[in-house]
Parts: sequence; structure tokens; C-alpha cells
Amino acid sequence: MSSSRSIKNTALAWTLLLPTLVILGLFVFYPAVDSFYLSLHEVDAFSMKKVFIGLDNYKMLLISPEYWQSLQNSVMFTIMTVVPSVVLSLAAAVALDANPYFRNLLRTIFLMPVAVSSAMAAMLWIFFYNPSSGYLNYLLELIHINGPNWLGDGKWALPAVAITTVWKDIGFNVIFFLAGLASIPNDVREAAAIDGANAWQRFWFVVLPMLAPTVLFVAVVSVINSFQSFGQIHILTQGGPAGSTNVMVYNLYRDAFQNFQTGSASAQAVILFVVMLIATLIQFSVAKRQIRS
Amino acid sequence: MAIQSTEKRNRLIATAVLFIPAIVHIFPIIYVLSLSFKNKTEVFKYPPRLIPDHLALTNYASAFGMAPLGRFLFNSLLVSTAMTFLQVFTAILAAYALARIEFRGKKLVLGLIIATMMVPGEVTIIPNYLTVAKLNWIDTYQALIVPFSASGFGVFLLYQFMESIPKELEEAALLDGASRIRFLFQFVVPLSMPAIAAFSVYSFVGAWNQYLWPLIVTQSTEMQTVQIGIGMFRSQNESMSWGVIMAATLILISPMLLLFVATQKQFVRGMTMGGLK
Amino acid sequence: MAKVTLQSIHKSFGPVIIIPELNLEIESGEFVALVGPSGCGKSTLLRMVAGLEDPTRGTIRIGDRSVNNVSPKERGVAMVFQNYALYPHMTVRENLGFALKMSKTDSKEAARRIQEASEILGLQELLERRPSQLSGGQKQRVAMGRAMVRQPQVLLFDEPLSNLDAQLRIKVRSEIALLHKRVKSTVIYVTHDQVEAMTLADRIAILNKGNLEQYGTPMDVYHHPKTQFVASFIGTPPMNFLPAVSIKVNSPSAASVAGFRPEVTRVQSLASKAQGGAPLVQLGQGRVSLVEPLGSTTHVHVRVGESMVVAEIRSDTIPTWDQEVSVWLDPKELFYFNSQGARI
Repeated sequence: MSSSRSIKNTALAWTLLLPTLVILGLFVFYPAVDSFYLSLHEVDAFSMKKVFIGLDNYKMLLISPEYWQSLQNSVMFTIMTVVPSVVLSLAAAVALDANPYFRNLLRTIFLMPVAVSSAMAAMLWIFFYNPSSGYLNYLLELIHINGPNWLGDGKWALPAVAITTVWKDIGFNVIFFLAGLASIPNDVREAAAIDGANAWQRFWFVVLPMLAPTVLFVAVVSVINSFQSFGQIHILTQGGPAGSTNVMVYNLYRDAFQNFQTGSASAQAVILFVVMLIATLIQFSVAKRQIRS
Repeated sequence: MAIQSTEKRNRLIATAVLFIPAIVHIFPIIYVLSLSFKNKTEVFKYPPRLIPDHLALTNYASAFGMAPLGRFLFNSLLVSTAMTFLQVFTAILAAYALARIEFRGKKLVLGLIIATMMVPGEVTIIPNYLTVAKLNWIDTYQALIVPFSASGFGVFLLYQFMESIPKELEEAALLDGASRIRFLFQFVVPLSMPAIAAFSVYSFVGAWNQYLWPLIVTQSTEMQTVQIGIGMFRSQNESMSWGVIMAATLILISPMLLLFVATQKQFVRGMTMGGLK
Repeated sequence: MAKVTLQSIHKSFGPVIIIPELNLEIESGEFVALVGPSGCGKSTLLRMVAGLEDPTRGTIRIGDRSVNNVSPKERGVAMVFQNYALYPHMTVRENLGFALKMSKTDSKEAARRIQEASEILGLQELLERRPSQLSGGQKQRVAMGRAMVRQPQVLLFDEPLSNLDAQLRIKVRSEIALLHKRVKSTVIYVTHDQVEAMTLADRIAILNKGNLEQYGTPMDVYHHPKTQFVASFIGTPPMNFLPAVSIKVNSPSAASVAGFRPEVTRVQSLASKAQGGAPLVQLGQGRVSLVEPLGSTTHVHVRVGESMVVAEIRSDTIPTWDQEVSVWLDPKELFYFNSQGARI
């Protein structure tokens, strides 16, 4: 190729890349670096005066009981969401896969929360949790259990938000499990039947192990998503009561935009970034294995 | 009989077992639907019944009176459409450059773009807010759209797809006198339609569902999107009853739900793209 | 070892009839091949014997008992699948042992059977590997081993060689033959390749559109085909067919088509003076359109009238392309078929 052609090509390439690079540069790269920069300063949010304080923001977070509570809340929330949602979605997917009747209708029903945002999911559940007139406490009363003030009780607020999140996530996870189940060849199942395995044994010894990469993948994606939960918390509990639903992202939001602690909030953002990076790297390698299988 | 009848029995059990969770699963929507037709006193009646004694049809009209629902829907539609279009357009250009043009630094650029997929929104949100504030864009459409008008994920997806289009096709077209841009839009784009369509769905739904960014970047009611607007209804005060709130919720939730039911397969395919990141 | 009886089998999916009415008896220890073109119903039949599908009507017996209502596990059948169907997450050893685990076989006995099968099939080195680490031929042998360790009454093969390349196919084919000699189970072997059927089977059942056209030993179906379909299906290269009226031989009046095997067909250049010799009779004349030397024999394709005739001759005197030749044959080798395809 002549050099003028190649110069023309290079110019074209950079022109085509320009919009993407400018936007990503301005709104992804620069902020990522800037967050780190801000985290090393004490920042006055109004005058934007910055004083370099080194790692003090991080040190203060590490001794802040509020921050530790938010870490704990995030971890508890993740466990409370991911475990039930993976198990329930797997069960639903297996049942949907085995079932030819009303297939489209049932699938639509189970998949439907995929179209619901976390804020909307929260709005759909909010009255459910009403202590005096909500349907949940009514159902519990029918089996002689006195339901708590869900969103107002420090012990029950986080589980309540978790239940809403699980409901929302089932739709998404079922899709993946259905795809995984579809990729299991029929003749392997038939071979197991001929080898004497009944339906449960086929599931436990053949289908489930073959599904393991998908399960792992879904679990990792769910963990990443759950660490980023915000909308449903903002709508249902605003981080309370008594900080019991104050997860990491919510704490960041409060510190940055309500308490105007820009420096400290940036430090929280950086910590969150590191946690998410590790999880995303795990997700990448798990995804590679799943695509290969 | 042999395996076929055991299979049939298993399938019937699976169906029966599935119907109860299905009803449980769809219950929130049914419940909200029932609430939306209850007036103030009925809402708090105990024990609660699913079918109200008096159908309060006015709740829906009241909902429109309480807050500019139409405006919320318009804002969301505008922002989501613009964001999707821009993301798709910039991704097509960038992916083509990476897939088809040889130039110095290509590997680096590709690496950087893939790196942006690893950066979660939370880490960019504070500086982006400061940038937007400095540009005086607070409470404008630009603030909602521009920061998300390009997508590293979109570039990566389309890049992978375009790579699989045979080079000979382009060489033939270039020999026939087509310019590269022409080739891009007349050949590459149509051939990449499956990937573009799936990504568009993913991008649109993601834009529609955004919460944290619109929350901090909008101030006036008129600029709020559907997700933020619904938050206005979240705590009842004397003038708003829960019935009205639920009506508003259903109104604001229906566009996405309808889109989902209408285009289930493509919708699902688009959403799973995100998982395959 | 058990006898397999298929009685009045009818199979349809809704309005589509796959098998109208079929009767077949397979003796204990016999190796029977089910052959036919795609869609003839052979795989469906096999799956019915396995219990993976039910006949719409009719009875299947294994031994003396009817197994229509019996699950595959209880039938004592084992199957070797076309795509091997090995459990990808288990080692070869675990694959071999899975059925024994399901039937709660004593672990010592299970280990002994696995050992025995691995020895017979040459799998000892591969026992700790996963299927993804095996070649096609190795996977096929593991699939056979998995079927064998169950010591089944009936061993079923569903086109096991179609995924292997040509050389491997020949090798595994002879391994299957040796296996049968050693293990002596009743075998039902489905294939679309008549060479496999001819070389492996004690008897061949030829199916066409769900109908059993002929059931006999390989030599039987080769030398005495009952229908035109059987005659055209068995034998490589396939039998030649010419309209009965076009050949210069007296044929029975009911005959519509005359068939003859390439191996007994001779060609003579028209130019040469030596024209055949009794008992050879000239069938017709034509031009050579293709000459395929195969080594010691050569296939000569001659266009006779509207039809193509293939002669398999010795490679010492080969005609050339486009040469005018005459086609000769001993009239005793002619098969006549009427307009319905039945042999007369």
C-alpha cells in the first residue's frame, strides 16, 4: 500500500474513532483518574478548593463505623440476594425447560421482571410491605405470624429490599439458565435414561454438572449487580432505618451529594472500583470458560 | 408405557408445579393493579381484598394531575432514544475503524476501549457531576445524554461482529469504486444488523432504567425521567393516596412492559448481551 | 442374550405415518443390520426397541416378555449413539461406570467389568481422561465400553461410524466385528451404509419408507434381491438398470426393468472384431463417457440410449473415453423387475 493511501487510511481511522474516544476520554477515563485524585484531597464542595491530605480519607473510612456498616450491609445484601435468586431461577428454568404446555405464557411471566427497573420494582413492592394494610402481613396473619413493620424495622428492612431485588433478578437469571439448559444435547440425557437414571438422577448427575459453568457465571454477574444496587434502596428505605440498608453505593451517594464530603466520597468510589474490578475480572474469566464449554 | 409416558408424567408435574410460582411471581403486578382501582379508604381496609368494592377509576386521571407523567415519559423517551442512537452510531464508526483499517496504535486504542468496560459507573459519577456543573449543564438534556453517548461495550461487540465479515467483500467493493464510508453504511451495517439490534435493545433499556445519574443531574420536575419521577410518589401525603400512586406506577411501567411482551425474543437477546460483557 | 421380536409395529406422528406395519424377528446372539436411506424409519425402530419412543401400535418383545410398558433401564438394552453422547464432565472411567452406579452394582463387580471392557477395547490408558481429550475413534470405543459393561441383553448401535473419517471407519468397523465375536450379544445395528451392513451383519433388514423390503443374509440379499429397491441399494457400484424393452435379449413380457451388476458386465470396442463369445450376449451399444481406474479394476461408464451403464472390468484392457463400445453379459445374470418393482 502506498504511503499516501496509508496516511489517508490512518486519518480516516482516527476520524471514525474520534467521537468515541472523546466521549469515553472525557466521561470515563478522566473521571476515573480524577476520582483517585480527589480521594487524596480534602475538598470544599462549593469553592472546589482542594487540600492534599494523602491517604487520610481512606484512613478515616477504615475507622468509620458507618462505613464498615455499609460494607457489611453490602455483603449481607449480596448473600441475601444472590443465593435465593440463583437457586430459584435455576429451579424455574429447569421446570420451564421440562414443560411444553403454556410454554410462551409461562416464559413471559417468569421473564417479565427483566423489563422492570429497580426503581419500578421498588414501587411495585412498596405497599406490599405496609405494616397495617399491606398484603404481605395479611398473608402472614393467615398463618398466624405477626408481620413486622418491614421497611421501618432495622432487622427486616434489608431482607425486604433483598426480596424485591430477588424478584427482579429472577427474570434475568432464568434467561441464562434456559440458554444453558438448551445447550445440553438431547442424546446425553437419553444415554443417561438408558443407563438407568430417573429424572432426578439425570438432573443431579448429568444436567447440573454440565450447567455448572452457567451457574458460576450467573452468580458472578449477580454479585456484581448487587454491589451496584441503588434505585430500590433510594425508593424503599433511603438507607435506613438506622443505616440498616445503607449499602456502599448509597453511602457514597449520601456523602457526595447530601453531605458534600467530596474527598471522602471519592475515596469510597475508588474502593468500590477495586472491589468491582476484581469481581469483573473473575466474571471475564468465567465467561470465557462458559463460552468455550 | 415406556419412557414417553414417564416423560409425559414428568412434564405434567412440571407444569402444575410451575403454575403456583408463576402466580406468585406475577402477583406484585396484579396487586398493584388492584390497588390502583381503590380509593383512599379502601386502600387501608383490612383485611385487604384483591377486588375493590368500588372501582375508583379516577385514580388514573388524578395521577396525571399530581405530576407531569406525560412529561416524564417524554423525557425518558427522548433521552433513551438519543443515547441509543448516539451509542450505536459512534460504535459503528469506531468498530469499523478497528476491524477494517490498519493503523499505528490500533492495539492500544482497542485495549483502552475494552478497559472502559471494567470501569463501573460509581467511580465516574462524582467527577462527571463536577464537569457537568462546570459546563452549566445541570438540569438539561445534554447532561443526561452526552456523558453516555458512547459505549465501549458497543464498540467491542460490533468490532467482534465486523471482524467475522469476510475481507474479500470489502476488497471487491473497493475495487468496484465504492468509498470506505459508503461500504460501511451500505454493506457492513446491514450485515451487522443482528448485533446492532441486540445492542440497541440493551442500550435503550439501560438508558431507560438509569437511576443514579438522572437523580443527581436533574433538579426541576420538568426534566425528570420516568425513574426519577416515580420517586416523587414514593411517600404518601394527604393529597396523594396510594391508589393514585399505584396508578402512576402502572402508567410509567407500561411502556417497557408492553415493549417486552411485543418483542420478547429480541428484548431477551438484547438483555443477555449485557451479561456476556 | 435375548431374542428380539417386533410384532405388527405401526408408528405415526399425528397424520404422518412413519412405519405402516412391520414384523421382524431377531434371534438371540444375532447381529442384524437395519439399513435404508434417510427417513426410512430405521432409527425410529431402534429407538422403539431402546424404549426412547413408543410404537403407536404393536408389540415389542425382548426374550419372551413384552416390553412395551417397560422403561429402558428395565429392558436390559444398551445403546451406542451416533454422536457418542458421553458425559462430558466425567472421566472415561466414570462414564463407563455410570450405569453400574445407577443400578447399584457392587463396587468390586463394577471395577471388574470396567477393567474387562477397557482391556477389550484398549481403553486402559484413557481411563482418567475427559471426553474432550479424546479423539473421535477413542470416544466411540468409550461409548461401546459404556454399553458393554452393562452386559445387556440387546446392544443397539445408531449409525456409530458416520462421524468418523473413512480410514477410521474401516478400523472401528473391524473392531465392532471382533467385539461381536467375543461378546456374542444380540446386536441391532442401524446404518445407511450398505457396506457396513454387508460386512458386519448376520442378517440385513432393508427398509424403505417404513416398509421391510427384504430380510436375509448378506449373500442372500445380494444374489437374490426381492425388489428393485433392494437390488439398487445393495452392492457397490450399484446395479445397472435398463428398460427391459431396450435390451437385445428376450425378456419376460411382464418385465419392465432389467438389472445387472457391474461386476458381470463386459465392454468390447466396436472396432475390434472379437465380439464376445457364448454365453455372453450383447445388451446394447453406446459411447464411453467416463473411465475410472481404481487399481486392479476399472469402472467404465457407458451411455446406452438414455441410460448410463457401469461395467467393472479388469484393468488390462481398458477402452478410452468417447470410444464406441458394445455391452455384453451372461443372460443368467439378469434380474427382471415388473413395474411395481417386484422381482419376477
